[in-house]
Amino acid sequence: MIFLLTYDRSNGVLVKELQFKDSEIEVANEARLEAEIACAGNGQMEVVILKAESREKLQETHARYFKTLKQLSPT
Amino acid sequence: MATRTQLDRLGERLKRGELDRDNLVALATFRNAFIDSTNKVASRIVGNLGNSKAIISQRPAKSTPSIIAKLRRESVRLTQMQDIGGVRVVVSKISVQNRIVETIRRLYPSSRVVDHRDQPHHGYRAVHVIVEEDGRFVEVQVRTSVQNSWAQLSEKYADVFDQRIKYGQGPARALANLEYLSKYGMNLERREVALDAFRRAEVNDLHRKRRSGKMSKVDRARLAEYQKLRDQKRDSKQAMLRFCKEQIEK
Repeated sequence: MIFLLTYDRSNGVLVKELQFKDSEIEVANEARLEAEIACAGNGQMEVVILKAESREKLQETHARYFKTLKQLSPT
Repeated sequence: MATRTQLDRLGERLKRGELDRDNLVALATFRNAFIDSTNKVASRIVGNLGNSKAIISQRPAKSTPSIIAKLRRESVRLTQMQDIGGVRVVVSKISVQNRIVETIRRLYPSSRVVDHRDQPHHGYRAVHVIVEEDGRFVEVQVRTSVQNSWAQLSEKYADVFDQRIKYGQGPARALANLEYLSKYGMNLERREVALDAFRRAEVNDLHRKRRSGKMSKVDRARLAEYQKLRDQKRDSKQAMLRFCKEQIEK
């Protein structure tokens, strides 16, 4: 599964998430490019494509995009 | 297809912050060329993970802010970057991490291994294996869950407070917290490695001997060593949790 994330670095929050099938990588790439062009004036916006078996697994490997600072601190 | 010179000139424009449509389209074309290689690397690793219960994900193309930050931070040119395509593997502990790194080295004999575990890079601990697939470099990050948790927290601190945190600069308190947690992670994992040296069968055997009153002097010393390591691991974990709770409350 492919995930297109738009992440606001300065506030540490995920502002947009789109999901695509593995076979839709070209569509995802197009969407990514459009999102990057739209965010071009804002250096704090990160647009990234990630791929994982499921959202749960992606949350394990790339927790930063999904969790707050408090949630990431060991408890 | 763009030449290396054209791509490096693109890198220079990006470095200067020229993020117009043409430059972003050219960057996308360059970056997308890494997708197949990254996919192949991930598939080969997945096919050889065995029963490691590893979690794997791909970042088929590094994000634009990360590329620009690297171009500005280092003397590297766009075409020299070896981490445009990335694969991340997260495993339970060091012994599994070692096994997976060896597996990747077997799959890619000419790969380059960068081990940050005993000499952390500004607190960052992991093993990176740079492999080549279809003439393109892909960076495989192999992390334990302890190492990955620290890395995620560090990235978040950088997002929220100051991007320079990742390179040992910025707010002193945040840096001190991350340094403490990195050292804690290293100590915890060293104790885990030492505990792994005790096979379960051996520990069970020692307990059985103790119950039946048939322990030798050597057995008693061995069991005491095991219990000490186990208690140290538990105590350091509790100390770390207290530390984090205090920091959050502040």
